[in-house]
Amino acid sequence: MVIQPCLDREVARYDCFPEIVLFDLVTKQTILLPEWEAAIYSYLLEQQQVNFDALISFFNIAVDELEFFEQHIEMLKQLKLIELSE
Amino acid sequence: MIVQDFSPKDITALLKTTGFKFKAGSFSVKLFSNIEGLAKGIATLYAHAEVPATACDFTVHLNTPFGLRRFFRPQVNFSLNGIEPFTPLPVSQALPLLEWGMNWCVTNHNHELLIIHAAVVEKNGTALILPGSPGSGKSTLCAALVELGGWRLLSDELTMVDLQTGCIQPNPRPVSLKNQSIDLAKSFVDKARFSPVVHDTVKGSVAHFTPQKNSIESASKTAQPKLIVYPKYIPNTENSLEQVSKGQSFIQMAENSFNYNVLGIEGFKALAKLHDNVECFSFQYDGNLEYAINTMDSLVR
Repeated sequence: MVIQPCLDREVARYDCFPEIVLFDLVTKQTILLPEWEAAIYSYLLEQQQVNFDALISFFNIAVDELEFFEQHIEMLKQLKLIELSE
Repeated sequence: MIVQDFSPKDITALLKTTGFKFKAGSFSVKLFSNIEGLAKGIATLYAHAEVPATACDFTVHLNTPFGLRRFFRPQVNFSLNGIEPFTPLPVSQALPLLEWGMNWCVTNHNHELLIIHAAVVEKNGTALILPGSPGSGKSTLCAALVELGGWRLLSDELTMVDLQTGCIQPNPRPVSLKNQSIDLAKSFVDKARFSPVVHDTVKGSVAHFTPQKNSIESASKTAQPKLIVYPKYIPNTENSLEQVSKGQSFIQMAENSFNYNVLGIEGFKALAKLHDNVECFSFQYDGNLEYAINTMDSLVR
């Protein structure tokens, strides 16, 4: 599975480590990305496109943490900040 | 000239004829009213305010309606340029309605500023922003800081952030107190500076007191925000001061803003700039104002 930031999304970013606050220029909503979501989203912005296995390798995710990690990715997907493809 | 140069009788005459002009914080108001007794409240709450010779920012009317309602349970209407944003209130609530109405004027017509529902005070060049929901003790803490702690009142209700500079524009208007906090404040503020207590308003019993003269005279002196403290008054609790993340604070400030959504990306940028320069805390206190003042002082040392 490949993960990448949504290309049709316009966001203004404000970094306040370890969080990110985003202003969605389409919906005019302000979104707070907590620690994990912020880290994943930042990394994806840098890389533009990442294979899921490479992502869990980068964040050093153990097998018993996978479900938890996937929930963070799902949240980013629901916020329409990333998209997943096979 | 200042309001103190006018007697309540003079003010009453002007209110009923050409209108009475006065500076309410950073903004000037021309007020017309036929309400008996209102002049005395204005003379108390705006004693040190300038009476401008020029045109005013807002021309407002505070009048009893025509007809039988003038005699039977009389009411009062607030209007700006013919717009009546509130339902009429009992005439006894004329002075609080004037204050609420002027807040409405400011928050609805000044979109070159980001306006946040929060008290703000300044000491040693540091502006401390105190956002808080009703009952959080925000206004009581603000009153204690300015009356007992030597802080300068910038506003007890509306924090106004300049979109370009990020500085806080003062708006020193009368401090609004509710219910038990009125008697508490009267223990450390001269009673002559208070308006009469008005009971049975939508907010309960309310009263206002006039800011210190130096706050009004320094109304053009902006301040750099460096602290945001979210106060929470809880009786019989353990006092605590804890850091709040900037992200959480950003979201709370956006929710507490009157015009963040109107400003859009400009509001976002202003809040981002504000959070670049501030430290954020939550402050839970048991009502011990001396402790609260010492804690706030420790943050600016």
